[in-house]
Amino acid sequence: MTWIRWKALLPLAVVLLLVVGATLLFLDPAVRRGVEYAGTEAVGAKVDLASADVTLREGSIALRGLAVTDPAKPMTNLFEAEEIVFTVDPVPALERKVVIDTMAVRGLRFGTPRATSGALPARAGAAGEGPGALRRAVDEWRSRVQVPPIALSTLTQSVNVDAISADSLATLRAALHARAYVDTARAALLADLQALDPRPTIDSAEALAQRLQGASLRTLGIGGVRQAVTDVRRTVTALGQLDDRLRAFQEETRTNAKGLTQRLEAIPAARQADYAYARSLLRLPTFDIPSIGPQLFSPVFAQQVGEVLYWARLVERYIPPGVQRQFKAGPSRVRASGTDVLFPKANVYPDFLARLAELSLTIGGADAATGAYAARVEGLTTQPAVYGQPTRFALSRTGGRVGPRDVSITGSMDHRRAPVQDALDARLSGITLPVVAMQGIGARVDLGAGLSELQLRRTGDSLDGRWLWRAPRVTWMRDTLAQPRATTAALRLVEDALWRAVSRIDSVEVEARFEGPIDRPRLGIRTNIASAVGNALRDQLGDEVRRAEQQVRARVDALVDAKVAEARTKADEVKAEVEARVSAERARLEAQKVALEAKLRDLVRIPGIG
Amino acid sequence: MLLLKFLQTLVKALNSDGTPGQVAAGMAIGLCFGLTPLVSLHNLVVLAVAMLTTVSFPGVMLGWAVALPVGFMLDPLFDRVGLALLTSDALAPLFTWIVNTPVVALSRLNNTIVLGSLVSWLLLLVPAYFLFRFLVSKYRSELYARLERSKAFQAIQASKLWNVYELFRP
Repeated sequence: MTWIRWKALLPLAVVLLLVVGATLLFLDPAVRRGVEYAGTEAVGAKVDLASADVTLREGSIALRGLAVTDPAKPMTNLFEAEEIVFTVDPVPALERKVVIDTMAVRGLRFGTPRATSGALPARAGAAGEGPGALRRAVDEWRSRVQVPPIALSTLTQSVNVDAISADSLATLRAALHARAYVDTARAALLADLQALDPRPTIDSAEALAQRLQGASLRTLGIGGVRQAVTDVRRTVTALGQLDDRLRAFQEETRTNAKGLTQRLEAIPAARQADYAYARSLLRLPTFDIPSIGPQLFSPVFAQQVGEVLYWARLVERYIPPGVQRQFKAGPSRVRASGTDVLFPKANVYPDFLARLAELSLTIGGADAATGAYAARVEGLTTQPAVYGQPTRFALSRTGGRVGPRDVSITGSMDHRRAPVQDALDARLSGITLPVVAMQGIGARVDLGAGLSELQLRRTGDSLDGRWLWRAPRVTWMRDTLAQPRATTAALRLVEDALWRAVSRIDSVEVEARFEGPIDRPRLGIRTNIASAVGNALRDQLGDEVRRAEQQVRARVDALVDAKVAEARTKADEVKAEVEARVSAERARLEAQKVALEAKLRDLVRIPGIG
Repeated sequence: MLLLKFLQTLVKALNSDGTPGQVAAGMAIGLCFGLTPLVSLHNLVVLAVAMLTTVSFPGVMLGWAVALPVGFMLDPLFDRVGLALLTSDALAPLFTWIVNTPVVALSRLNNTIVLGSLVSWLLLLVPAYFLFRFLVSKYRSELYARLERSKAFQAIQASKLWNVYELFRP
């Protein structure tokens, strides 16, 4: 019986030809679907592509009608491109790798509206990963760094100190903690005193002193006297050493008391924190100039910087350093997608590489970015360690009658090895800066045309960024819609004073600095508006705020004083008790030491002994 | 109609001229199409093996039909098996070679479902062959004779349904 069915060779060849034919026939829609799927997975919002045209003979692919949704604004496209044409190296394609030799982009537009929402439906099990999780983390950071606006209304009401709850005060917790620790400290101190064990030494010294009372050369003999001198010297030395230890213990009891002092010292610091907390509860206006910048601009910059953080972290996710295994979601299919595990290896083709992309783009309309631009991207890859070169990019403005005067964006991403090093320098001059609502002041400022400068440096998980807006000619507007005028005459005076202070400012400079761990950088905002606002507030509200602060402090003190006093009293009692015991032991010790030293002086006077 | 087609395949495979060994080998090979994702490079190789060897081709179809729902059900298991293999340090050089070698990389063996299901099928191949051979022999020697005598079978044979089925018989 033969095992080979030779007559099946022809049907097999036909089947293989059909497979190849079907692949070629459906290559364009497959590429279109692949781009949409991979783009959607990468961005975290819908990516649409009108058509893909693959020309195998030339090794080129043309993507037409690409629309990438802004993940932060699902009804807006991050960008749209009319046509993207690139040539692909065919050899890496046999390894399922995409190596783009050149790329040209035409008709790129940013921030275009979408007809349908590009938001993705929430996926089960995707809570802890993917762009959605990054978006949530950034939103959480935004809500944390946003500082409430200046509030004047609190001053019109009598200060409601009842809002300050005892449970929320750190002083009370510190006092209770110290009080609870008093017994522990007492037990520990007494145990240490017992471990020092002074009684046997003192008792032994006492017994020796009694034995030698009235002793003389006649009663002891020359040998007995010599022995007595030796005993006395040894005992006096032992008493001296014991006294040193008792003195050290006494000092420790006085200063540290097994950590009790530290706990008591934490109470004043907690009280200061409580004053600040209680003050913040009542949202009293601050005159502190560094605090005013965040109150005025933190919502605006939290939004802007949040987007920078989102993209910086997304880049890290898709361009990881090193040649370790990488994991990504498998392809979309009827069966489960599973996970694709990538095994990067040096000196081979990376999974994705765009060697050189030259973009000549025109942004239409009459908005902030309108004009013609030229961009260049070198070595964009998902596996930099495999490619062995950092990614570099640059964008500059080449023309346009409206829009910014000058745009220059340069940057690099070096993810070849950990820690990753990213750098971005963007300078946009003559750009239209936004209109910012000055929350709490009842005004809006139209920053007009100005300079926007962003510098970003990332090393590993550490981020250092600076965003500067400089507006030389601003326009102020009273904003009674967003913030109705005050109802009391006194507060109207304050509002008017604030308005006079800010409306005199012609040029505005705002600088936001964000530095620290990339998942939770600190946001600091400095602006020249702050000093004007601070001074106006101080002039108008200094007395009221001081009075309110006194009430707040009095309320905090009333809530915590009794417990703090109790903790201190108990601590003092314990210290006094232990000190008294030590002092008593030291007094006994001193008495025996004096007696023995006197006896020693008598004995050494005997001829032949000293 | 699909059910009828399935029954036709089933009957044809089990009663065809092929030996129980050929039918069982076909069924064992056909499991691959059902257990692993169909559009995979290895399935082209398995198809070539099924066509070029004298295994029962209806048996292949039957194995595929039987394994198809099982494949979907076992995807979570295949995912775990595949992930365990792909994260094994000892096998890393092998997979590094696979994903960086032209054409071989198209096999998608670095996907947990593809690898897990393929390895599971390879492990099942020999036991499945012996099990199917035993079952086909038993069916032919005992069950078919009894089925043929059963009133239900005769009723089906006498019905229009059987006539329709006959239309599909090769």
